Amino acid sequence: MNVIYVLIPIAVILLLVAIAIFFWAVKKDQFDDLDRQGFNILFDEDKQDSDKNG
Amino acid sequence: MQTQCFHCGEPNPPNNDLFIENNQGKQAVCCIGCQAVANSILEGGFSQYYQFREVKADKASQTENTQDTAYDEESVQAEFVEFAQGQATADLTIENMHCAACAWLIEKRLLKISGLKSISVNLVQSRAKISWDPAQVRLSSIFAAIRHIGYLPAPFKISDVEANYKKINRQYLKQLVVSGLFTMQVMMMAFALYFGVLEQGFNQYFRWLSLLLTTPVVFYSGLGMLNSAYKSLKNKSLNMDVPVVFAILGTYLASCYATFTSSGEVYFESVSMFVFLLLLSRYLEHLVRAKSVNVSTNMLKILPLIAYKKATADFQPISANLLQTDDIVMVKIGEVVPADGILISDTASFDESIITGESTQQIKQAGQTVFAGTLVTDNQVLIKITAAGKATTLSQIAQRQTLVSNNKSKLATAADKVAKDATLGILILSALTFIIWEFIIGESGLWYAVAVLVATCPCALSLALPTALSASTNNLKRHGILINNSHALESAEKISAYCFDKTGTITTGAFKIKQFEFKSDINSQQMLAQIAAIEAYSNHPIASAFSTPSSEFGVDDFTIIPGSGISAKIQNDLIELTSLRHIQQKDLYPEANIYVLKNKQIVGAIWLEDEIRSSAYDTMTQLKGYKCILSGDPSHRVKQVAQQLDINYQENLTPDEKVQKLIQIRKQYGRVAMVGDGVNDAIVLAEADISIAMNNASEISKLKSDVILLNNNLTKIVTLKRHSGRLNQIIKQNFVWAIGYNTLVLPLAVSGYLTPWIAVLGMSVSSLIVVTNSLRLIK
Repeated sequence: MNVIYVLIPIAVILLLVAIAIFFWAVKKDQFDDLDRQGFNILFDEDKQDSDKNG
Repeated sequence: MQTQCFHCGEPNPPNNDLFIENNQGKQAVCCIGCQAVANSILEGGFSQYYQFREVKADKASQTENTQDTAYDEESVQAEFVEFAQGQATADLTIENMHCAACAWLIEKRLLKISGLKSISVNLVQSRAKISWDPAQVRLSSIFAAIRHIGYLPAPFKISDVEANYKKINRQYLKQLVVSGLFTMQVMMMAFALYFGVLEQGFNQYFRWLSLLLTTPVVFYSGLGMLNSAYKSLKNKSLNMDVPVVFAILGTYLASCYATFTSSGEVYFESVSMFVFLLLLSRYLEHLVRAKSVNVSTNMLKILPLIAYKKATADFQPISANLLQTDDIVMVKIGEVVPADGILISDTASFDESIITGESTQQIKQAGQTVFAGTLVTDNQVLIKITAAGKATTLSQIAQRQTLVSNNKSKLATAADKVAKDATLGILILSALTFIIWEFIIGESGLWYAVAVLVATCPCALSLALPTALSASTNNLKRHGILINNSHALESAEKISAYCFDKTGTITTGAFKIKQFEFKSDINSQQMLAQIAAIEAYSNHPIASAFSTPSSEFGVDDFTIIPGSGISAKIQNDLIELTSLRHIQQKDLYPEANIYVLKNKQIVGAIWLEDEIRSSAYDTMTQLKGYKCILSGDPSHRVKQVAQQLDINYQENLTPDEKVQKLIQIRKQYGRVAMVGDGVNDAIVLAEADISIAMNNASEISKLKSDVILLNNNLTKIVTLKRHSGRLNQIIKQNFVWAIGYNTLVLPLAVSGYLTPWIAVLGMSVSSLIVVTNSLRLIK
């Protein structure tokens, strides 16, 4: 059972990492528009990025 | 041939010869505007837009916007653009955006512009944030690019209210996640503690860990409640948060004490779960409010951003906020007057419906006063400004509205009272428990008092209202009803009188032909077609009464005669369309709206009326209670409409008189709902017990109204009332259950039989039942 002294602190540290990542995501506006991002996968990426013609 | 436009899905006109070419061959489009937009989209390589869009586009407008170049002016940009490190950033609202494909299209198209640094389109809010390099690209060409693909951009400044909501929203998200994740950990350890799966030595270790994990839940996630309770106590008053905070802190501190001294029981999991559930209910409440803030502040743009001010040689575009008294400004046809002033150019007609609610045009001569927010319909005018900015009539109406709605006492709902009384009772009870055990029975009363606090913590009670409200609000949104103020939803059931505005609310605000009469030698169908062909050139509101003409007639020499009408030549006949005031023989066609002259001879007349919404008839039969039209329109049309709908009416009312009437009606019949749309309704909307605005209402009316009917469908008022009834019923059930459970478990706690695991189980189950019951409202 002594392994619990190590495992639980590790679990808590992982929890803190998860929370840090979530805070970062909130800061980057990732929760502002939840309707849209699901569709992004449908659209192809640009075939070429060089045709900037304005 | 396809019968529907490839781009906008509207029916194609007969003899259509407009096409665009895509990889599946020729596709018919309905007009030059749609053709240009579709070509621009396909040539840019964005054909996927047509593949993935869920909603057809809006019909493209053919008119070019000349105002865009003014957005390059420094004084104008100062209003909404931020500059930092050689980069400019601005928020825009984008109209006509319907689905994810639109957002994708706009982003991809704009990123092709060299000099545009970044763009992020927010579909939910119909907005975009762009940043660009002013040295490489002008804002006006970015606007033009958005227009080319069929969307309407407008500059926009995020209001303080909204920025604040967004900040709170983020705070809630973070607090929720912290409390949620930590609560799970604490629960896990509590499980081990309760059911004796641990060896004896670990007990203390687990208690300390729980203490460690609960602390951020109480002091980070619960910060809002702690603050609010502290403020309330400092002001020597009692709000909902005070008993809640006593329960949280009391249980937490007692558990800490138990941990330090290795005695008693710990209730850390109850504390953290309590905070989590409370926070969840607050967040749900916040979301309901935040949603409507987005809609109502999206475009506060009744007044134009740009004015053309007279400089020494010509007219310079400047920010309308910089206008001062005695400046002279030019306003073009179809544009909005930027400030109150005196007309110094020739006669012109103004659409003043925004101020007065009157549907007919006002003809003004030089020297008369014109108002900010009104629309110039037939002549380019010069105005000498007498009041600008906050001093304009329009702004003053807005200020009055804020004043009235702030002074109105909110309807106190039974729900608030119950929650407050119940939590207060619990505090007193746990204090009594402590005193009885400690001093009368002679045991340590602390643990019994804590058990009472935990057992009765008003968790389910605090969830009862917000879950039901947010379920109901979401359901109503699917019906096209947006709830700004949840009190309105609760009290809609008790409304006994309804007042309506006429123009734009009961009627569509658009004109249609009621009847026409032509001399016997005139072919009336041909004449009407010719008139329609002429009116197509006009952007006067009346022109919308005539359907889009088939282009059989060549219209030449189209002229607007300011303050009078229009004229044009068709097949060598001079046709004039003019209003009553300029005709000598008034009794020829009494009360006609348009007189038709062919080669200077009166040949007939047309009567117009603003069309009653088809939904109005059903609404009036289904709504029980007193119904009345309060209209600013002085014409006999008010009486006609009221008689057709079989309801009462009051005509020719100023905004203040509307308020007087409403107060009278309230005295006589009880709670009043007001349904309106214009700026002239803003004050009376604020005064009503429930204010309902149409979606086509002016922004100022929508901003403060309790309910917005998104589809302009009046029958939704009946739906609202029905849902309000269901909501109140569910809330009542929730309260009965929550209070019932707490009373049931109370004897156990007082007598000391309540172990921590029973307390937690009971709390979760009763909260779950309340939430499940509320979810029934979503269906």
